[in-house]
Amino acid sequence: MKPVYILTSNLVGQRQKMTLAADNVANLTTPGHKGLDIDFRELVASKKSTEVGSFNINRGTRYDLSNGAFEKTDNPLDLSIQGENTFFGILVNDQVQYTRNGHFQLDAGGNIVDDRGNPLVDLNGGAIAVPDGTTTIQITGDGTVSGDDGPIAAIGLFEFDNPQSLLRAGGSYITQGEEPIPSIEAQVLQGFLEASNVSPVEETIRMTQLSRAYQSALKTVQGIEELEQRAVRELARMP
Amino acid sequence: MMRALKIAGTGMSAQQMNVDVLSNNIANINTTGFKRQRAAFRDLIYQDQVAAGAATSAAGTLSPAGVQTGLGVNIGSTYDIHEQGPLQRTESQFDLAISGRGFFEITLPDGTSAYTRDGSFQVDNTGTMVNIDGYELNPSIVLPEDAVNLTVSADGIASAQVGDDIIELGQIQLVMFQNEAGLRNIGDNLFKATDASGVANATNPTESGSGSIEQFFVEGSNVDSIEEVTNLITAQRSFELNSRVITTVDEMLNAINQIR
Repeated sequence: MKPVYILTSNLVGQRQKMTLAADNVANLTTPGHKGLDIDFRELVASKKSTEVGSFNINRGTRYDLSNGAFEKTDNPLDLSIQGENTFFGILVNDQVQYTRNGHFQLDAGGNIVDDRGNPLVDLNGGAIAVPDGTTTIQITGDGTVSGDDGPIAAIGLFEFDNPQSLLRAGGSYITQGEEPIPSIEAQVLQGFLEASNVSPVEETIRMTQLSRAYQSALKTVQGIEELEQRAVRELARMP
Repeated sequence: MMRALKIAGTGMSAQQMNVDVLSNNIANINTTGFKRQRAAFRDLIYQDQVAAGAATSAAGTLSPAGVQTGLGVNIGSTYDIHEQGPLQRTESQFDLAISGRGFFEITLPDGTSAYTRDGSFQVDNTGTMVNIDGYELNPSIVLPEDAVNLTVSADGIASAQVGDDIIELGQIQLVMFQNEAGLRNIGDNLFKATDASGVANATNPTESGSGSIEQFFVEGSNVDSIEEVTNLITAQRSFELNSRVITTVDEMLNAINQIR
């Protein structure tokens, strides 16, 4: 097997990693954003003992589910979740999608909605409406929403057995890969917004490593090419 | 590779817009009744290369995670934070501030209504209370020619002294919206109602959840300089990091071009 192809698989992999790093950095200030990483796996190309070498292939993208920093905003409808792998449910086109982006507001009908106007749901998938003329909205750790006259509803918090199988739909929404389980332990923090958990330091280091690894792989390709050229030249000179 | 360049581009333009919003806040740090704005970020769509749950063997094992690449970021909306601004003591009897929720209703020259938290009123040549641009407060309060010492109570009753008598001039009302963040900024400290804000509900101050009126006070801007500066630093550094992505991609592309 030609070593050039092995290096090509490496180059393609580095490029995919770079795309992910770029997306992480672009979402450095997106509330509730979770960074992505990539897992590579070795693919042994040939079982013949005389041929060595294996490709690397992209096995899957992996979320970093750790909490982002909680930033105090004093906005009563900025919520964040303490607890990894727990999400708010948002009703998007009659279907519940999930998010960690906890920036909410009231719409004209008094429903708690996100900045696209999609309602936040309770555990049963229904919208949460705050009565007209409510002055203070209080949200306790377990997600109970209270107005001036006592509790109104409880915000649904959802967990997943395998959060890595969740699909991102863009717009900070995650679509369901499996049935959600109501979360018991997670806590809601009112007046705080969860920042993106992308670490600028890690991304910078990753990009530097990537760039150098890419260059050295290319250098090796060049070396192989020179080697072959030389072989052709010397062979031609042989009597 | 080109994708990474474009993604970093979305990051840079979003941060640029963020800086635009922040600089407008800072410019209005002394504007009466100004409400600071924020840019809301959202991630863009994702490309699925391998779906989670795809078969990985004939025995029916499934891949536990898919391969998804994001395509960057955009600004979903800019929204006003209708937090109470600090009340500042003034010497003018026509200065009114709202402590709590609600807006003053102003009649624009075209007859439509606009809403404001800027309560630095004056009187025009007919004795009518008007805002700084000469637009009337609604319901209008007209001061008789010889009236002195205007008094506005916390629940909005305006009265004045004429000769030896105290006469009642009228009731100043406040307007409430279900969703204040849905109001549209039209400049000059004025907001317009939209479908998102809901309909305007006029009420007497201190009733149905509205705030009280404080005479001899104006509401300052709710822009907090420290918060704006820290946000500005974050925006600048994120912008730089995005440009670093572009530099890195450029280095990688350059390496390709170096091969013979």
